[in-house]
Amino acid sequence: MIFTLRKTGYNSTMKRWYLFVFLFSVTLIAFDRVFGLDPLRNGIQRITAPVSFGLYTVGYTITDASTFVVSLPYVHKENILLLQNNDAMRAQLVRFSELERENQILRRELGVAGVRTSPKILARSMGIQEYGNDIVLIVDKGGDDSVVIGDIAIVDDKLIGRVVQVLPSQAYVIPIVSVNSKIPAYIQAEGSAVTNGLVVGKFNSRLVLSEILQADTVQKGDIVVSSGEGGLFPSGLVLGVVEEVESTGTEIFKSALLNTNWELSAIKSVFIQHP
Amino acid sequence: MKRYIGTLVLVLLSIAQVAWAPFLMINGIIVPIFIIAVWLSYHLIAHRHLLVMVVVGGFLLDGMATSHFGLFTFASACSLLSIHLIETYGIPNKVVARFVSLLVSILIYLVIIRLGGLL
Repeated sequence: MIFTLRKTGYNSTMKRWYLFVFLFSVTLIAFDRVFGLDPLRNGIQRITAPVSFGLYTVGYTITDASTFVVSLPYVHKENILLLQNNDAMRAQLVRFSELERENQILRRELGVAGVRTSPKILARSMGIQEYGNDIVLIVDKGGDDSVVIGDIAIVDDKLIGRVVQVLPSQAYVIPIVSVNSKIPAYIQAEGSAVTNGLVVGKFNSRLVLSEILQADTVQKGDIVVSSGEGGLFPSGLVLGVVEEVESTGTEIFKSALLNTNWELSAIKSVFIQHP
Repeated sequence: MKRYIGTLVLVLLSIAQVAWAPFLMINGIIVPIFIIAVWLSYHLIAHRHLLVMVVVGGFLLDGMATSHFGLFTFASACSLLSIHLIETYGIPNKVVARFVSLLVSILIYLVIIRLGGLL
């Protein structure tokens, strides 16, 4: 490279500038790796956070408005479908309420304490940043708000991700759709045997339920929830709904594409909770 | 005056790259609007001024990132250097050079960021 630059008569001042910039950035990388530059990062974040949040809100509003305009022709059809789903859900809710009441009576009779839930911290989304091959969601709550590494991010009992890094005023959540995400899960279906699998992220935007035995039953619309195995995530959190089953028949396992029912671009805020 | 406005715009775009990333993702890859802005500004702003702006923008991106501090500065500077080399010495046809420089600079940026995550 240096030879080429010299040969073409590249401006020597610029060459020195580039050399300085490269040495400067490499020194920063080395320094961050050895000692850590979190105080500097935290200082920058305190300055950029309001601007970042403002820009995120502008982006969200524009996307929201454009999505509404684009989806207008399908609104009527979608509305009828949602009304049908709503009726089915209401019926299910009645059954669950009955079960809950029964459960409470049993707990009282057996003297078992209720389920303990850890406090939830509401955090606003501030954007996304690359993290190697993965992506991370930046939220505006950090160590000052008792967020710790390993906490989970949820929205309406739907698992969004796990906190991987915490700074005093911000935290980084690796979404479950990121390429290196792996969550033990099972299919929650009424009256059928439990189907286990492993939910993995695909292209930082989708989820796939893999390692399902060929003999196991999986069908479109099945709800996939976390099994709690491994201890990283609690059990019973919704991961997605089966959209399409992929099976060649010749392999030991089959897989299923999941619909998460949420998109990173639609997440304005999340709840951070200890698992 | 042009350079101050340019600096302000690039600083805002470096923050916007993070803030607007959820809306700018294509197959899980965040479109580097900061690098695209640098590419667009290449013929509008003097090279040495653009290098300073790139360092400032890269520094801000590093401040908002989880990867090693300095990685985005390095990747942005490499991208600018690739734009300059391709457009000045690489390809004689200016139109072709313009588009090739965009593709190469984005590619260099993405590769460095991804490899940096392995450190």
